[in-house]
Amino acid sequence: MKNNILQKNEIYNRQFAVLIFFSALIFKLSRLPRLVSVTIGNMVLMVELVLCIIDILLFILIYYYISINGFELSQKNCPIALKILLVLLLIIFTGKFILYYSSGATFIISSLFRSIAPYIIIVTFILPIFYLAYKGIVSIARTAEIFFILVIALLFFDYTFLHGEMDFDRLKPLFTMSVGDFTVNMNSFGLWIGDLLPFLFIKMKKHKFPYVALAVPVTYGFIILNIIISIAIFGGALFLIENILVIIPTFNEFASTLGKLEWAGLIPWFIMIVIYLSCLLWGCFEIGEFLFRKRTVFAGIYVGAIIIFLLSVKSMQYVINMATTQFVSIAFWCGNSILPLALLLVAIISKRKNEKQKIMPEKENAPILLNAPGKHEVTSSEIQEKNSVNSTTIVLPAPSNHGGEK
Amino acid sequence: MNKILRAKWLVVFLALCVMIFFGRSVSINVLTDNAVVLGLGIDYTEEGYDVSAQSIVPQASSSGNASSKKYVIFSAVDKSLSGALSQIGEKMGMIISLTHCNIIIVSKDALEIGLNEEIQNLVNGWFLTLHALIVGTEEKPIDILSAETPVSVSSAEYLQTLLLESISFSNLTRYKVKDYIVDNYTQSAVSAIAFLERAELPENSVSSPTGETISTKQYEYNLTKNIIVGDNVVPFTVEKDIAQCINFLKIKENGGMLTIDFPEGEVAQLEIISTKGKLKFSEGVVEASIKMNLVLREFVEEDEAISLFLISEEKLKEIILKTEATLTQSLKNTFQISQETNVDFLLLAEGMYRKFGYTWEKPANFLQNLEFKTSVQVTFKRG
Amino acid sequence: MIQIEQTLEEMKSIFLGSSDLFVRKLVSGGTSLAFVFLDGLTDKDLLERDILRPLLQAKEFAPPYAETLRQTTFFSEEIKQYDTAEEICTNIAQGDIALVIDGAEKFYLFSLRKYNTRSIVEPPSESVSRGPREGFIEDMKTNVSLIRRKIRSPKLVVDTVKVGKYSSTPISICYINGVVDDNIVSKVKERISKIDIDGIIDSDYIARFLEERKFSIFSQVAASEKPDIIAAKMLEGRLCVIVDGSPVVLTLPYALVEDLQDSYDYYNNSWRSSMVRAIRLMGGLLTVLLPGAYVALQSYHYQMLPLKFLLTLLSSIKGLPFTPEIEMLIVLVLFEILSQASIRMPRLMGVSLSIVGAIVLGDTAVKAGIISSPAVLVTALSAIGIFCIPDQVAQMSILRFAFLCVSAVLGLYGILFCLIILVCYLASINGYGTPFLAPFAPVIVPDLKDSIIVDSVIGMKKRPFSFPNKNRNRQPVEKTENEK
Repeated sequence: MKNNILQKNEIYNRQFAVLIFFSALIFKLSRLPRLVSVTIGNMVLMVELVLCIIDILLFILIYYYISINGFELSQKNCPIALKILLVLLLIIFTGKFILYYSSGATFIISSLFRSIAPYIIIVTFILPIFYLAYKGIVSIARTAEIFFILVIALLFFDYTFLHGEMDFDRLKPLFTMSVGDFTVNMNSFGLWIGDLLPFLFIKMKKHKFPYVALAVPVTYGFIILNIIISIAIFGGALFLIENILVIIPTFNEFASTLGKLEWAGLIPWFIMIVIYLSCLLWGCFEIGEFLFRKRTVFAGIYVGAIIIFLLSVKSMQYVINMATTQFVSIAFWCGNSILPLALLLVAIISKRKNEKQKIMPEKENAPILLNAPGKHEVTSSEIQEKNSVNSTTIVLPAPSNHGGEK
Repeated sequence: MNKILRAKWLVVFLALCVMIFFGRSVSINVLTDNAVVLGLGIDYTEEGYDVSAQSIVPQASSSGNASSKKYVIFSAVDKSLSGALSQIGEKMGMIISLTHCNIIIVSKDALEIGLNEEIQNLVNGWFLTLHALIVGTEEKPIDILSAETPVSVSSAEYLQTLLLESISFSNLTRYKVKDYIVDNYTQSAVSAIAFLERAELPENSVSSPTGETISTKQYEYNLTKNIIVGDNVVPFTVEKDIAQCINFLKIKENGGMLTIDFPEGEVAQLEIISTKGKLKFSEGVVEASIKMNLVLREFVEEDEAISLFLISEEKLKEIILKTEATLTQSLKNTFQISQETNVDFLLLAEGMYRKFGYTWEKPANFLQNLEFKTSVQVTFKRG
Repeated sequence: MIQIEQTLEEMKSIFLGSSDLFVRKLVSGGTSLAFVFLDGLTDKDLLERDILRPLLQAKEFAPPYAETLRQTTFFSEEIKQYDTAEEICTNIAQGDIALVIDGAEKFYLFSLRKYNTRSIVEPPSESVSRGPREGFIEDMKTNVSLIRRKIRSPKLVVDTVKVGKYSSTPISICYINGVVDDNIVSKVKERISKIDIDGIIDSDYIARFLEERKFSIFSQVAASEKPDIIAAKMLEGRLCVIVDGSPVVLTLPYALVEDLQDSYDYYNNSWRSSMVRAIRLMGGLLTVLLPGAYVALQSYHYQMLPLKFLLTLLSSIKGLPFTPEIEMLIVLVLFEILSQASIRMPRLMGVSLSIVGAIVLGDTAVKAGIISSPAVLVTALSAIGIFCIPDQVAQMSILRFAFLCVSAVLGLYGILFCLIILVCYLASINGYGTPFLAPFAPVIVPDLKDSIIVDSVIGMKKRPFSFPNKNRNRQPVEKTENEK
């Protein structure tokens, strides 16, 4: 029996597909439509379409980066360039995290409680996010796998029994301004691309079934479908809706018997936002560990600083409004689109350097510790120790070979 | 002390700290401190908004039987809706909760000044549900709310029953808060709301389970008409057939009955199974089409009902043609009223905008210069 | 050379003059002998019949004494030899019989242990409607024999070690060689060998030492009192640990899904078993989440309740002196008190006290207006549901209090974030190469046929992939066309 040992930050492509579904969907579907509707009126569908296309293109870059083990190769062969890019990426991730976190927290405060002090939500909301991020991407992926069943079941219930008096003519006209004006207004939405960037640091264990290839069109298709349904129901009043994922289930055939079915949207929303924010925070921790070597210290200081910042600003809505300001938005546009390209370039250069140096690629099933530059080479006794049942590495069946004695 | 034991004490200590912290910082909201508002009435006077709220006050019952409950109506006047609601809450000594408020009765005066932003505030700040129904009336909303009805002690509950639980067998206008807000953000910005007329029931028409007649006045509600409201529009009512045409064109789910009168005194009673109304827009022309699936329920000839199986095929064709003609005429009448009042309650301007895009501009005398074509197709079967 | 009187005095002093230490002196073939043993731990009948009588009748008793004893006595087991009195006394304390021979170089040991044990009955905590009803008892040898009767293979290995400075408790590690992973066996042996404790009273002591996460409320070692369950787990590739003096046998590795499984599932129709497992899971979730959800909906999210139910609820809670959080806490604590009292109360008083508890406390408290009937209903559902997964009673009991406290301050939001933290915590536990939430996280597709949906025995051709195994095939696997 050939047992496969997972390496650090290695997840199955099925788990990656689940994470893609949660990450890509959560903010584009819940908070962005209202923002677009308030900012530029009825062009929500076009804005979402453009952002989804950009995200898909970015994901192709990210996927290629992961498949060539870009992070590991760059660490070995171009550490300085990688450090510079990761510092910039950390700034982008920090801004994104603060804005997304504020967005989620304000929704919780306004919709789940009649009157609660914001600091309570700020302090408590970080707990599950920090815990998951600290545990690592493997734990996040497994948690997402467990909750995926619940999320899909609830979404299925929501959409199967949707009873919303939809008028698809409300989608027209598709353009309510000229292409030039539209392009200029798109500057305000730089924050909302690059949601899948935190996965630059993962390793993927492939399965013959193309879960990831299936997840991407399904996810983005689901986003567009939801936008279409929302516009069909609300038309020009979409700005009224703070969170589409939560409001859609209230248009349900069973609402008269089961009550307001907000919880059927709230539960998936909450799960997805926690999973995604923890992925984002985990990405920050990975960068921090690479730059500063001490993960725990960095994690504590980083999260503490974010919480202190949020507690000291006059209101979180003020923080969220910053996302659409010109300067911040353009910074996000540049960061979210250029940095992955630059990282991929560095990875390709590293790969070529690697090939030139004729370093053997990693053997299949050999556990190799992720060494930051400067650490000692792993000895065979360390490998044996890592392989022992006392370790945190997992022994799982070969995905394409379920059973069969050797 | 070993690690595990220390961890346990630490957990107990942390739990205590957390409980003290949250105990002091989070205020516990007891359910019985909330007044569950079933129906809201909004009127507008010189002093401001006159808001009345019908709430339910459950009586304590160990078995939890909710049949022992009483309804109270409180009202207040303030410059803003939120102010008036707060005053009502103070009077009741409870927190007003609009989460289960499914009926909003609005007076003509309040509709005239427009309630779009106010209703949005109720949705955002007071958790008013988007599915709450709006009903217009010429009377005072508080009188409607406090009226006794034979079906239910609560007027709001009776209205809910009429409008929400009879979808399949009545063709009343079910205009929701969501529709009101959405229609206000169209090019036309006009709404066609259900119009409530109250009629007193004759004496002795309602008796109690013990056989005694109830002496207090009981009312029934008529919601067949619509009231047209909008920006810079003086609200006016339209009759049942116009209201029905508006519903056929705007709403997919239509039910109820159609009565077709013949010149010879014959009457055909048709039940609406399904309707499909469509407005097709082209340059300067609007084509309104209705496809309807009906079932013939009753045919009366010379004051006598005829067995449906004895009606000849020619008679059926005649009924179909007459139905189509009646509906076509109703459509034309609907557009004519829209033209005469210069109020675009069919949302034709919005339709043009959707068809021609953002470059389209609403011309002056838009309705007067618009050609309105109609097409009605009816299919039906015997009962 | 042993001086018999001197040696006997030495042995008596080692036992500090214990009154249950017996010395039986005799002369056999002219040689003075003495049998030393503890009363109550040995089979005196066998001693007299198979050892004493032949020795008394022996005409000669000469060295080599080991050979002489083998030839003279009717003892079937190996006669062990020891050099010092201390060593032999340790064995006497465990129930063996020492033979002191005047003039000999060594002490001789006969193992004729016999103590009163209870009969093999159905364990009270694991009763079944169908299937074997045998249960383990406190005697390790009997327990091992019960397993051997299920797995009649020479590949069933039983390794015995002794743990405990004063108890010297024998602990057997049983596994099927060629099926269980060698790393797991060596790891378990290593951990047991490192135990330095004064005494082992129950198998749970060993379980604590074998766990990966010592601070966790979740046990990472499975336990059962039924030989058929243990044998089935061993056939799947686990090892078991039998502790003398405890009827509870441990198995490793462990995944949480095992608590959802019961022997009933495999002895019945798989359709019914699948349904029952889903109900168990539902019962478990209701137990943990229902009290908290009830409080959260009442306190913070009543807008989600349908109007009719809300009105019923309002009528029920009108006039109550306590907030929903306090009310639910009171009812849960009352149920816990009832539960503990019912375990410990004498059987004769059990019925009447049950009536007092259930009817008087529940019904009368509602009529007195102290608690509401929905609260009693919710708690009753939770209290019954907890026994759908009996092995997790302790954990679910703690968790429902935790969720209740969190929901009291943070409502549904609090429940959700606690649930996410809990699931993440469980997902991060890996014991002996086994993810705790396998086969759900990570999803291990072949093992899903024995998770909530149960396949029939015919379909279970492979051993679980959730933990390491040496041999995956349980039944012959049909070859595909390519393989042919």
